[in-house]
Amino acid sequence: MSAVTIENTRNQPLVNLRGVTKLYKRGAETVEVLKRLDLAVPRGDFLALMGPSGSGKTTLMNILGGLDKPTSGEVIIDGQPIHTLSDSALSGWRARHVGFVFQLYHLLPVLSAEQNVALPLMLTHLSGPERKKRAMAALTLVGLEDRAKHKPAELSGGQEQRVGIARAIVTDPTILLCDEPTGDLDRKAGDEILELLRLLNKEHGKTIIMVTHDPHAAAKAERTLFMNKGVLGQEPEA
Amino acid sequence: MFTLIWMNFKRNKGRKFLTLLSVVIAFLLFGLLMAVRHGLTFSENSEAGTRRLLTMNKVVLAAPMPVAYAERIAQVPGVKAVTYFGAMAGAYQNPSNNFLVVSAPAQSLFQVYPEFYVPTAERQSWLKDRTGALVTPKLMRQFGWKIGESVPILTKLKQKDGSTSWTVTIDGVVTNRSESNSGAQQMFIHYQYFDETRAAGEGTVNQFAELLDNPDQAGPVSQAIDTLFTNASPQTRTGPEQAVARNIFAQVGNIGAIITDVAIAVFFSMLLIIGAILLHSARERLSEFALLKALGFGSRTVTGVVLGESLLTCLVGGITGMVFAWLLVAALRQTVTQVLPSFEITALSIAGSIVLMALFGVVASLLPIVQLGRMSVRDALGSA
Repeated sequence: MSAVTIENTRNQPLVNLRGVTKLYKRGAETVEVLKRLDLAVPRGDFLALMGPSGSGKTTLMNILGGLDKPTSGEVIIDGQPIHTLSDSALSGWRARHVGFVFQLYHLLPVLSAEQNVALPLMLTHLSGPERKKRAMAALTLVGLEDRAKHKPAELSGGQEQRVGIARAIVTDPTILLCDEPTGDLDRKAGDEILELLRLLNKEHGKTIIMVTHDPHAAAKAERTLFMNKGVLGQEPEA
Repeated sequence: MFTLIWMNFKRNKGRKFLTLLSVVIAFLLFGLLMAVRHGLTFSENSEAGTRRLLTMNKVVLAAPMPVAYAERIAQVPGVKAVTYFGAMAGAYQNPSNNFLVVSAPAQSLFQVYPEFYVPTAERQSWLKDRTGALVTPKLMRQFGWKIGESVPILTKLKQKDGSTSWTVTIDGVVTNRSESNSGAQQMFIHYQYFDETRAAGEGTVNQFAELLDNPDQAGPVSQAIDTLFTNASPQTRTGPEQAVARNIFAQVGNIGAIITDVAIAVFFSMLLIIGAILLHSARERLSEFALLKALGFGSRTVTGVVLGESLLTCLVGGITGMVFAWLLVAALRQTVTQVLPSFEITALSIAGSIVLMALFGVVASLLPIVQLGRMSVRDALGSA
């Protein structure tokens, strides 16, 4: 990949969570979704997070991605304590450091594949031609350069997710957060996506944290952690 | 950001078409209403408006007044010439072919209305012909009349012999030199013939018209004429031609207030429609806006997309509506010129419409913007 440069410095802690607690109010009740959670993810890791629905996986991903803030505790990513940032500062931080891959792709239907991929680059100072060049490089990496002008409705689910991945990596983010990236795909398309993520991790050194229900998908990661009732563990709850 | 606004603007074409149509109609109505309003409130101080005064019955504008008033009005300082009119509705062959039949004394008619042009031979012919008539070019063309032709005019005004069919001879064509392409449908006959022939109302007229020595004296002269008849019955109401036209409308109600009320109602409806559509549209696209926020776009950008789409809708629809209004006003101008001499869309109305478009664009987007402000990005993107 020419335009999307990837760092390849491995084995340095990139994500550090210390004593992260997240409380939600549901009516009069307060629910503790994350319980004094600690997590260290080294640079270049490919971590799968598994756990039953409601275990707190997505809340953890939202906190890692700066979409939510912890009630208490520290979230330090690439040396930056993001839990202290204001909402607008967090927006800027997300644009520079996080690439999101969603289960439902979340492509804008009115934009072509290339325009969808180039969307995050609108927040940079790159010129139009440069944005286009980088978007095409990302699309080439995911094998969809010949679908650049197609709208999402003209693509298969697997192709849409590839566009979603291209959009996530086009800014060369520090970390890729994937929320059930194969959850809406059949096995074949899902395997292709997992292979693409593995390639990004192995060949390009991308740090990836992936939430999944699927043990087959988790098996593609370097390691798997299990979340249960707001607590992280090495083994699934019996 | 403009790419996003433009691409969103183009989506859901059916709904967008209907939204735009509502804005187009709203501003079409606005343009027409503003043209009518301008026509009614056109400055009374312009020369065209003050060169001539009209005197009518103070209580009911079209009600009869004694023709003898003319002599007293002629004595008022500042009045150069006086003429008067007795009018009736006429039709040719079929009641739907209707037009206005105006009776007037020939000599004073041309003194007070010097812009009326009749070729000399035709004019002389009419002056000598007691039952003669002058007609406007449009009427002449419409019925294919020929000079010298005798035509029966259907009216509701009985003659002394009980007939309601008035026979007149077409002696000539009268054109108004101040109107290049008049659409007026009028017939002029002699007041004497009209007055002597009709069964009732002898010696009365519906209107006096006065030509002034000095246009600047319109106010004092109007007052002086009305003062003459303060203790008479009926009393009179005198004013510049345009003011009289406005007063006719004012008898129906306060036309300015009606226009303003209609405009407010139209725009309020439009605001509700656009607001509801934008709100619905924003709700449908919550996940798309949430995505933009997740990617790092600030609230300002997301707000800008919604606001931009709303503004674009109001501007595109509004400008189209104003263009249609302008074309319609241009097409109708000649038809309404006698009642609304300055029936036009002014630069001020255009500027006002653009301000309104922008204002409604902003106001209509407020609710969706508030909704997006309250949106939880994580909820809108869904959870696993």
